[in-house]
Amino acid sequence: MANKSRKRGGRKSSGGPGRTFYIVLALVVAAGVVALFALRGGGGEQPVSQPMSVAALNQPADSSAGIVEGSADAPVTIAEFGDYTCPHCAEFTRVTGRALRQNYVETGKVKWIFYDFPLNQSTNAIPAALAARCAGEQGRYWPMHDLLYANQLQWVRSNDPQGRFEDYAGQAGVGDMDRWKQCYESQNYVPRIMASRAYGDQLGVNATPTIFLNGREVPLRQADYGSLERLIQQATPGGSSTGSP
Amino acid sequence: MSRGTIRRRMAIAILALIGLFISLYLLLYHMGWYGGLACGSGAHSCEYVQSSRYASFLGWPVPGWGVAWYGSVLGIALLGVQPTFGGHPWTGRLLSLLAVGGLAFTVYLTSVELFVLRAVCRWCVGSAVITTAIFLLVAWGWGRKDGPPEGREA
Repeated sequence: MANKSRKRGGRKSSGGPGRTFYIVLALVVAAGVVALFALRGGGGEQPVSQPMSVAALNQPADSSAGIVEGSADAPVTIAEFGDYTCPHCAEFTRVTGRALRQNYVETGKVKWIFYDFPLNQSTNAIPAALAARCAGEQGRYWPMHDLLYANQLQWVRSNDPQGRFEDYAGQAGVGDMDRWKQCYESQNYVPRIMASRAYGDQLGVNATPTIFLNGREVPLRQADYGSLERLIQQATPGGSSTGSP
Repeated sequence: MSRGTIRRRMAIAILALIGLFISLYLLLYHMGWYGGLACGSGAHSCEYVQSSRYASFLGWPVPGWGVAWYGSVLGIALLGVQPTFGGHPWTGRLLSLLAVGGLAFTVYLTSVELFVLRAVCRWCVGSAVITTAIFLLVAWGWGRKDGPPEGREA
């Protein structure tokens, strides 16, 4: 009877589970541990945050902490909250943002403000934002911004992304690399980056990218070139299309 | 304690263990141990959901709640299959409480994904399926003589 019971239910006649149950549990544990390590990618480079002071990370919200491009008189203002490690942001910049900036910001119809919104302080989000702002000191913010997103997969998991950032800074046209390095290593822009993040928090930004057009949040599903172009035209008196990506 | 109760609790323990590893994976991502999430073609959605404001609840990362919840369910289910503790009415009551709470939280998170973020993370879907299965296994015993809420296990 006990044998029959063990065969059917995998438990002992005493009422507890049988050996089979514990073997299955052990197999699940083993598979789980192996999967956790396998998903890590075989112990390659992993993102580690640069040491930053708590005081630098805790900043009050500041609406002027974004990076502005375009005419101050433009009838439309687009504010983008982005994280350089966020894949959606990279896709948005590659497919939509860059083309919109070319077609609408450079023609004076739109003022674009990029607000850093680093989602996770343990990733390379803040170092990347720092690299872009340091390029901005030499007037090369936007080329650096676009290069960081275009090459996101190359540095996002890197344990020490500075070398790659230096390459991008050179490609972006940063002339004085010593000054760029000094700026990057000093981390002087971290408070501005975090003030930008705090401003996003204040506005209720939930995720990245989050786009505001003339102060109104654009739903994620409408954050494509065609939809944003329509919204820009609606907000521009007598506006018309200037092209597509 | 009936054979059916033991079988259900064994299944609950195995499901909870799988769920524990899913939560652990997402928690380690949240802590920066992983640079990205393995999410197939939906990788963007996974990281979008995991990096949203809703990835934290009461100041704690949601995967941390998942680890605590699955760990508790696993512990109680394992105790619940032992002859010494299995017949205790509190074993069934605690499992019922956790199952109802877990299902409610899952409904909340899934609603946020579908209607607020409009992005679905596959790992979250996996966890939601496991939580629902655990709830159904617990609820299965409610209408039976050996059901946990009444604590009628002999």
